[in-house]
Amino acid sequence: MPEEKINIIIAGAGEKARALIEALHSHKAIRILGVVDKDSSAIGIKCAQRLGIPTAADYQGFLARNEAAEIIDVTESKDAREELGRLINDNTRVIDSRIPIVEVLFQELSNKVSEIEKIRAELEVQSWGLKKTNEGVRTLYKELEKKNEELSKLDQLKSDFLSTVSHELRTPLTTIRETVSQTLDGVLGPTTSKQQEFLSMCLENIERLRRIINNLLDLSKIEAGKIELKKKLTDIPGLVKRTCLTFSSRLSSKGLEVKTTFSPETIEGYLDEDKIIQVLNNLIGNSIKFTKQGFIGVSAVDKGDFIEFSVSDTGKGISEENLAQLFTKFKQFGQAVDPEEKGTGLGLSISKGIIDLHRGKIWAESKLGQGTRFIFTLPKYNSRQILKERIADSLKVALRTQELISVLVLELSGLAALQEKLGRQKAESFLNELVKILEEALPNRERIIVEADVMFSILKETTKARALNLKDELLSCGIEFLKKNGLDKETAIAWRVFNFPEDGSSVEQLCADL
Amino acid sequence: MDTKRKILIIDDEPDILKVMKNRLESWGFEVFCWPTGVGAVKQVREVGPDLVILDIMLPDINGYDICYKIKSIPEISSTPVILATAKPEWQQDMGDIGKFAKADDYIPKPFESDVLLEKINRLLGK
Repeated sequence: MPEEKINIIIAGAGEKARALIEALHSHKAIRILGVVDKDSSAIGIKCAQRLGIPTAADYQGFLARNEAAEIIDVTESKDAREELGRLINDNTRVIDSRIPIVEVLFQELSNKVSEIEKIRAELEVQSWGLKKTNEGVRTLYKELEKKNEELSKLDQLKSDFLSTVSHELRTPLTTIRETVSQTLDGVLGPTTSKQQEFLSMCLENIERLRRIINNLLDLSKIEAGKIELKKKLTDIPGLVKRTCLTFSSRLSSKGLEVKTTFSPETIEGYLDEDKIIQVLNNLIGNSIKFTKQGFIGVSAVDKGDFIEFSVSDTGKGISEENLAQLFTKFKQFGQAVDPEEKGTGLGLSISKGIIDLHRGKIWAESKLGQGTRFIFTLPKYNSRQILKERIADSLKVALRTQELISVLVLELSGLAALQEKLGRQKAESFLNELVKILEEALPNRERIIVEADVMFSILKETTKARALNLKDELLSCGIEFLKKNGLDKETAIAWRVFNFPEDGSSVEQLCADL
Repeated sequence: MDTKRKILIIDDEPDILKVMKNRLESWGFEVFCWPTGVGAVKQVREVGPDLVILDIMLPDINGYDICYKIKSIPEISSTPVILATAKPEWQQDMGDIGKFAKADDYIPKPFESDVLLEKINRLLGK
């Protein structure tokens, strides 16, 4: 850079000075401010004049005028050197003329250059590094993409494989089961009681094999993330009681009793009924299996943010060591009390998978000889969250098949006022009646789903324009109904219609304003 | 005299045909078997069964399609059809797709004979 030139003054004008002037005057990094010598006819002075470099005869004056310069001492007489020595101050630097001057200067220059070179090299290394890193990242990304593709292919293969295997296992099992069961039933002729005994055992084991196949499939689906929960608002005490009822014959044959407790008496949860029943079946089944006497306790408690379920028994308990491995696949602890109740070793893994899918927790507490308590929690949802999730879930399915879909949301304001005026029960039946009337106005027997004071309907293969028309029809039906009941002052219906793909291409986009 | 009710089983597994035929005969039905998708609908027309048990995974034609076809031919559309399969993911959505294919009921394999009998009796109006 020009402003970074090194300013030099050459003191002395002999042969050395001339060589120096000629070598340096055209150098980019150097500016020769002048050549100073008492002898104006010296070859250095002549050379400088020829090249347009200022010359001077007076050291003191010239040096004083150009303080910020480096003085190169190439004086050849002892007197001149001494005079110069007296004049220079701390700001100037004198390069000893006894060292070959050009070399020194070039040394300096090359130091600077190499410094620059070094920086450039470093920069280059850095940029090379960056480039490499970039390339590396890109390669890595490509590799990851490839791996991902391979993995999803593998995953597909695995689930195809499992599906095929289980089909292949079930088909012969069907023949075996029927053959054994027909023999037992006497369809194929009379059997001795010994044969009956062994065939019964055979049938039990066929059932067991069938359970293992089913469980393996369930588990592999959970692990592959292929299970979709069909959540809905559920009366939990009802669900628990229904589940317990299916165990009544097993319970009474073992002389056991089941006690259910709910706090409060009514609890609603947002869950996949079949899946939670599967978990309860597994836990209650386990409890019965390992309990000789006493009772099984099943409870559900509303804890505010979540609902806590528990299944406890007065059975033989689980050791601390085994407690830690409880949810591991194919781990079976302890001998079942009844030999025909052999498990598959997968039940608890499946249960954990199901609870995980519900974003809940499951664990067990136990004391050897005193009994075991299994606890699982399910998060609670407010009606807004449920609404959002239900719409999102319905949309997810629609988006997968890329069908045309509209969502119609109707919000009833003043439900609280309505409840106050009519009483809770009457308000509810009023709402049900309203929904029925609105459903009748919908084509293709589409359903209206109610979440507290919001009603929505997922209208398949419906354009936005059509949905807006439907909305108008529904609104006029709704308002007429409100007027007829003299309730149009307390309540009003707000609406919203959105459509895929018109209003967004992802569930997040579509549900953003809900 | 009471004429025997006719059941047609369509399944590609000879062993399954054999055991099912035996079981159904023990219940007093007259049983006809057909081992593949091709000609299955024709069999329904010719045999004129009171009920069809139809495997979904046939080597040539999908059982759902056969069912749909049976249900769209006026002369035979009233014949009750029970879909059966050992294929797990089909067992899951058999209810939904079965409805779409207009099947009357479905049964997963391996099946329990009393469950099958119950379904048959219900569909035959016994």
